[in-house]
Amino acid sequence: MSNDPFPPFTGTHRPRPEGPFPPTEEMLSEPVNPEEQAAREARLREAWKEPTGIAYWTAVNNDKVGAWYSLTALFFMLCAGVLALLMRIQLAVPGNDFLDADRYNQFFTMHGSAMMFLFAVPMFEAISILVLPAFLGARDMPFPRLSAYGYWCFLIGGIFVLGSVLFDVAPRGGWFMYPPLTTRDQGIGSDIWLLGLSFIEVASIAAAVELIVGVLKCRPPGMRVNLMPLYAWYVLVVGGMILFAFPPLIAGDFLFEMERSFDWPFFDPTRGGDPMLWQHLFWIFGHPEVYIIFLPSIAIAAMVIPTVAQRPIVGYSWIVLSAVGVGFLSFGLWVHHMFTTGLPNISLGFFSAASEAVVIPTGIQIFVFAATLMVGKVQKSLPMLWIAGALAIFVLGGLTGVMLAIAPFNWAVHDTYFIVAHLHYTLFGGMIFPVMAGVYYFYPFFRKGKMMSVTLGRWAFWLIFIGFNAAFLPMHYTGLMGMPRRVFTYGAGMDWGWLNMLSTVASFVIAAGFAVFVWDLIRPKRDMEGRQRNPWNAGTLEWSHDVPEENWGVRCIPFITSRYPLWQQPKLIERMDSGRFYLPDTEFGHRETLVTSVLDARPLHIQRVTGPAWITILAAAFTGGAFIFPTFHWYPPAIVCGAFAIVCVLYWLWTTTAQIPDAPTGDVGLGLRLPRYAAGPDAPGWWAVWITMLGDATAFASLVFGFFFYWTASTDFPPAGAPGADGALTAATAVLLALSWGATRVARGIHRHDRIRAAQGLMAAAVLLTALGGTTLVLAVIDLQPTTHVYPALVCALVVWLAAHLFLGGVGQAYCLARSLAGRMTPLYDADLCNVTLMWHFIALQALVTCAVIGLLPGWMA
Amino acid sequence: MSDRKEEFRTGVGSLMKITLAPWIWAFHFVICYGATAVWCARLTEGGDTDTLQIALIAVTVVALACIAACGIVGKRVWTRGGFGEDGEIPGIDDEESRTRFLGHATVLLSIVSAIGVVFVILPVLMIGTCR
Repeated sequence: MSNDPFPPFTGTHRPRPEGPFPPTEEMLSEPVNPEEQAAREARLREAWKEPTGIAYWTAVNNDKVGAWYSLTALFFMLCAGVLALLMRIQLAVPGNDFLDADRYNQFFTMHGSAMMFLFAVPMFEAISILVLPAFLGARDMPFPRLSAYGYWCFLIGGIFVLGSVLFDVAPRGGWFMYPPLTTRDQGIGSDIWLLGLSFIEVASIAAAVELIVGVLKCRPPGMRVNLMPLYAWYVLVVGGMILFAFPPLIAGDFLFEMERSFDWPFFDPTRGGDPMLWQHLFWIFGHPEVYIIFLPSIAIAAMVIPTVAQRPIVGYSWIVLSAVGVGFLSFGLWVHHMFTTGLPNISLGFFSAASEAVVIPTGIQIFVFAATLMVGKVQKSLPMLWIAGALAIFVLGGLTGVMLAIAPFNWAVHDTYFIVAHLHYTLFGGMIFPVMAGVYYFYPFFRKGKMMSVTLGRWAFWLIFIGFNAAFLPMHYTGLMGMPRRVFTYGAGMDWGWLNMLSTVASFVIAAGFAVFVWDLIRPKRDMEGRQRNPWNAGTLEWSHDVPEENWGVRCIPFITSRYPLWQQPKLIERMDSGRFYLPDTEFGHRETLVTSVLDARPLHIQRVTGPAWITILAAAFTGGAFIFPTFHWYPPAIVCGAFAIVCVLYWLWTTTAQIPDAPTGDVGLGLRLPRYAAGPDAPGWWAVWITMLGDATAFASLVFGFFFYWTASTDFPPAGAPGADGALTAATAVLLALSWGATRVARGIHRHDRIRAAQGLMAAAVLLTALGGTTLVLAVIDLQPTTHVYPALVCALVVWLAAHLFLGGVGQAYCLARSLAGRMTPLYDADLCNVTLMWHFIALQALVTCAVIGLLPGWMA
Repeated sequence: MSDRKEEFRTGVGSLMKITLAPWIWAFHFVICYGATAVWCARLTEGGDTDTLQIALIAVTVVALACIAACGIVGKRVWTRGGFGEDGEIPGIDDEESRTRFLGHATVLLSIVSAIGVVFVILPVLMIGTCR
């Protein structure tokens, strides 16, 4: 760029923040000229204008996407609830023939899968997208289009998976899809489950990226980590958990689908496979998943309770301890779902012990809530009613959890209705009730001052609370009497009839409660225009919202010095409204938010955020095609869709990310000038790559775990004399890919020192080396026959995994080359190259590990 | 450039430091589980666990020592500047209060992690067989 303001060492002399920080009281109380203020508001309004007409659906603002997301999740939840009611009708009397066995199997599988994958996890993402920026006084999420892409993926995948039930082809192997039942299942049900839900898991990881970066980098200036709203702590922990919990399931899905589609025998014992590997991978995901659902919901309680008690939370650090502690310990519990699988007792003991240990941090947060309520002046309100219900139900579910963590008791009640009762108590108490509290609490925030009805709210609460206990409390007893879960009917001689009838009747009471709730949620409330801005007199930032609604998120980004700024910083609202804090204006008419430092939230730079676009919807649709067509074994259209999805994403990146700014720095107000561009660890995009690749590395580690698993589980793995990967070609692959990584790394360094041509040459060489390395990799295993035994199958699976990464890595290298040639990447503005280099650190690591595992390890193991 | 690196280092590094004790718990857990799996599947005849017990007790002692070290360092950071001695209520919006908070969280997480480690070693002490 000829007008580059920092020659001649462009890449190494970067603009820095300039000006005073923190602001003084005089600076903050300086009045703003009303005309100037109005002009700024007009500019902001223009930049954040909402698309109208059909283009409404191209919106990417967090409040729009969050609202669609949560309403869609609610709809899926209601559908799954209807399936539950139909099952309850079938079970009401012995020997009933309302549903046949096959349909019943489809219903319970879809009920569990939909409640978990289409409601509980997406609902957390939806609520976070909706409220997190407001908690943090940010204009929007750091990557609005990524949220939108995640939402459209979720919508398409959800309709596909849930719709299958209407065509009698739904999955029917239970929500945990145990092989060999499901690998041998005829029909496409299992494929719908695997591919449809894998697709939705991608959306979850996208949300995790968004939320972690949001919490770490998009806090308002001054909001140090010890001042963050507790919700942000929980979201941070849960985002981290998603990165370690979801990838093992994605790896498992990958192996599972390879077995279903191509007969690679990962779970087939006759050819060296082992169905237990699926159980491990599923539950390494499945148990943390319970806490991934629970923590953000209890985080809502952590926001509601201080407001209800009208005082700050008692023991802020203790809540952080609790969230982080649960986050870790929840990964040591997965085998308690597998106590009856014949593992050594001593191994069961480890998981039993960890299951008991997790009670400690979980209990601490409940005591913290109780303490806050005890020392505060509690105001009776609907949200508090729901929180009280949540705590009562959750504690009961937790107590049966303590019982179930004891292995011998677990053996006795395994797969009985006792389990059904336990898990519904934890999920209703730990998720449904707190989320309902959140809906009542945040409704005036979502709908800008309108409130939900107190009378209808009480009705809904008591119907659901009584209905729930009447339906599920007896199930403990039904289970202890021996009724197994997942049976479509039972004989009259079992004496379970009256208990089941009670549960069925009560389940309709729950349904009536939800009907009241949904009506209250959607009924017109025109008479409530212009009500209070902060009806609960809460202390956190989201209640500084604009009533009536403005699209800009916040008028300006405040300077925060307390945990409950609306209580503890008296002039905050007035100053926010008059635009006296940061970023009260948009100089070039772009959407922008502030990026701050991780620990102390010092302002670092202005982040341009993306606006409405069709491309995200298009990208999601093609991604959907790439996952959905393989269900029907239609591979050519799937490949075409995959290619178009990549083209869409590239177009999206090319046109809107890491744009060279109109000016190197910008005035954000209060005398502060900040850079308009960041690359490397300062940039949110770099963090997004880091987080995504960490999740990716977890999935890869799960595949490598498979290698060791088969080695410990079987006496002849790898089988003696079995052909493996070609040694010389594997070594060549390792060398070529190491060189490709090196070329990328060196290119990044010299590019910053203005040696643009040499860097372009290295990037071109890197693309070539990647292609060559990919070719030698495939040639190394071309002679293996993966259908014959699990060993060649696993080698090939690792190769497929790596080859896909090499393809993406090569695209990344070529993208940087193209950006450089097109003048869209310069030594000063080199975020693309930084991000691709970071991605290559991970790819190179996976490449070397893969080569070692397929080339060297078999020799050592044998 | 260098203070940018510092920002990166002090930022996430300090935040991750509070999770050091839980990470030790996690490694201890994985070592116990992995060692037992390999021992029982591959290394022992007849299911005795004597050698395994000794090895895992040693691992546990090391893990507890490391967690104790985390806790002590955390305690020092938490109480730095005489907090808790003169009865003065400290501020909340300065660097010291942030550091103290991270120290407090470190101490609390160390305690929970230590309990977790002790819980996990109990089966090894109580169940003397692979079967």
